[in-house]
Amino acid sequence: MRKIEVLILTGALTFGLMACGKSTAVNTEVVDAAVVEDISEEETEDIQEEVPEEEIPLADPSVDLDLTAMSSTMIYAEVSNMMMEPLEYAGKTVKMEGICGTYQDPDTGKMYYACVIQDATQCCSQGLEFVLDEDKYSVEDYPAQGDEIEVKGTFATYEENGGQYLTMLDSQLIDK
Amino acid sequence: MEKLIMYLGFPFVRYALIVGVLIALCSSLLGVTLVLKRYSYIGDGLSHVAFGALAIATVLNLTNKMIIILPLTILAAILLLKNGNNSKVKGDAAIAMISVGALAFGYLLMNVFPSSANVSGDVCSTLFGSTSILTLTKEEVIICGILSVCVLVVFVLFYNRIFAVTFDENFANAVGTKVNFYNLLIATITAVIIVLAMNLVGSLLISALVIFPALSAMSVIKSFRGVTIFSAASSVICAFIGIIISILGGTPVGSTIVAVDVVMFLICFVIGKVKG
Repeated sequence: MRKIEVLILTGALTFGLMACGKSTAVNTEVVDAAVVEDISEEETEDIQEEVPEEEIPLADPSVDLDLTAMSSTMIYAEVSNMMMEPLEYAGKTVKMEGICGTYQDPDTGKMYYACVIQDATQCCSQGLEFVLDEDKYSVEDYPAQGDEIEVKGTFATYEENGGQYLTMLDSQLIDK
Repeated sequence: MEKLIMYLGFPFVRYALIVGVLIALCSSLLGVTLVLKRYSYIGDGLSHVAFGALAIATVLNLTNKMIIILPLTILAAILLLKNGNNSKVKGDAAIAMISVGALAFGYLLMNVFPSSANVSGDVCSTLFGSTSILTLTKEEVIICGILSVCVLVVFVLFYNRIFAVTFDENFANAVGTKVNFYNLLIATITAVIIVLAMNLVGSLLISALVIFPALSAMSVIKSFRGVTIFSAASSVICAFIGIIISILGGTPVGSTIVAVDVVMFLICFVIGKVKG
């Protein structure tokens, strides 16, 4: 009888472990597009009953690094590694999606735009600056702060005011 | 499966798996000793000390923070474990004292002397280890690898002595074993593993990495050697599965590994009860 009770308990525990939650958050604060800065603000949560399975599309063969085809954990880790080892990614085409962050330099008035992503715990964010292809886009075509965007560009580094920064050059906005 | 194969093509994923498995292996081996010596919560205490040391290193703007973190954590471990069962301030009170003090001072320092725009985010990331294991530099991987191998070698070489000191310090002392030395050794190894494990599961979840594999093993195995081997195997498997699930599912690495450890414990607990 004791073993039967244990087996019933096992079944109940297994059933209980089948329920999991998944939460998502949207980040809408301003970020510095030229350097990686962390922001944290959670707006919404969407709880689902089943074990979370991210619907991740297949990788785009036209780019070297398709971050849209990765899980959120991998995206954050990959962007972190791009920040730490920029020379290994220089010249590679990158595609990523996230929230548009904007920053205006108070001294020069220059606008910077970035695609911002969050880590799995939603407490940290990273952004990668992008500059749209001047042949195809004008200043008005840049997205607004907080817009969900998908952007593709060539990863590069540049120096400005004595600092080294990372960006995606000749970028294109991809319609979702 | 194709997605997993693609992810395994990234060097930082391979580094994470290698280092994660090594850390899980080392922590499980020490976990058996710590659980039996009633020092289960020392992982938490030392991880908070490491957090405090990390805060000091961050304030000092050190490139290699291990210079501060490792010695301070080892010092704390020695203070807590060196005297074994004969210390004036007993294990749980000593751990609590050092743990909360270090955590409070660490967070205070990081707020008074912030090194980044988002202190809370940095603290959260350190405490829960969401992607730390996936952002290791090559140098950090090499250091982790060397330290893990050293811990394994020490454990294998001194297995019998560690076994004796774990079960009965007074008897071990009576037969000539240098109990204080081996307590010191256990303390040092524990500190090293805690510092390494912070990269894997974060400061708050380290205790799980130490406790759950040992408890899972004790639920089904009765001999010390069997418990040690089972603990090591289950810890490695759970860490591997946890990392894979987190990169595929987009979940925080640390908590995913701990969740898998919990499931393993429940399975072993049930098996142990059924076996009788």
